[in-house]
Amino acid sequence: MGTNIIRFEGNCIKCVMCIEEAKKVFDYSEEAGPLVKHGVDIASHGEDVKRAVLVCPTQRIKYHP
Amino acid sequence: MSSVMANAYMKMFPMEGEKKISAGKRNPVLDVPEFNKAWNLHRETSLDIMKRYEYMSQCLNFTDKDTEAIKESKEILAPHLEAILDHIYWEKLVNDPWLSRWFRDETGKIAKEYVTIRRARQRRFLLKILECKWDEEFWNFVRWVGAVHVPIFGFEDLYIPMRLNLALWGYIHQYLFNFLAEQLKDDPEKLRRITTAWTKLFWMIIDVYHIDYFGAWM
Ligand code: HEM
Ligand code: SF4
Repeated sequence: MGTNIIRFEGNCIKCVMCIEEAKKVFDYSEEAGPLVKHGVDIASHGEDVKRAVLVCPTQRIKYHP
Repeated sequence: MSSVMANAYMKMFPMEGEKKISAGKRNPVLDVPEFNKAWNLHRETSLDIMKRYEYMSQCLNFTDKDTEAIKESKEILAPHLEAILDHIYWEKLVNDPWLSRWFRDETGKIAKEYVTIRRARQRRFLLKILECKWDEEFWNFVRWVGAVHVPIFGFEDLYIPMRLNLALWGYIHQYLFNFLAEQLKDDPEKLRRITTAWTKLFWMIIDVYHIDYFGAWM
């Protein structure tokens, strides 16, 4: 428990770079920015999520594998 | 304007969609026909990114032949991209007496996390270039990345001076050319084609990247 959780913290400037890095994990909402897809197995896309964390210019995506 | 990136961009710059009306103040510089022409050109090509691309590609004579050459180079660069980035970021930049200052924390040590972040962003940028699609989506992406480095997105204390961008690109540019020269040492004609095309492309990218350093609404 407590692992493989994605949290969002702070601003989103809607640049969609996280979506480009992890299409299988995130949906994009014009209002909220990235949303974690329902029922997705985050762990199996861990590398994609890590890249999304790195490119996000506001460092908004927090991931605990 | 239909892609997610383009929509996101237009949301960030709603003023771009609106008609520009003069504030009524007379600017004597604009009475000089040459300046007036240059200003209008700058403004029009800042408001319509594809016009900027067309204008710049005419200036530099960037043609389909150059795109073909860049596609050729993709075959050489893409398979080595991770190694190239590792080399640039983890061997060269962190050891360069001047450029390595970017990556140091308050105590003067190399901040590994920061190098990792910067490498990841450069990777995204280079991958986008290697798609070789010079469409509106691409140019908005380049423009947007540049804009992230000045305070227009609300990061008030963030201002990356232009000379740092140029230093980094100068470095990457030189590194890529050395790499290509090594790979193509038996085919100087191909090397010439490819480096000419990349030089023109880099020029256009540097131009578009810095558009929002001088907002057209300024
Ligand atoms: C692709 C997406 C990119 C994003 C989202 C991005 C974002 C940022 C941000 C937010 C900073 C401020 C420091 C930080 O929080 O990391 C920064 C620093 C910087 N960026 Fe970028 N960047 C990108 C790509 C590029 C590219 C392609 C260049 C090439 C010229 C570049 C050049 C720089 C430079 C020179 C700094 C300042 C380094 C320093 O003084 O520490 N960036 N970038
Ligand atoms: S990368 Fe960061 S700022 Fe950009 S859309 Fe994703 S969460 Fe928002």
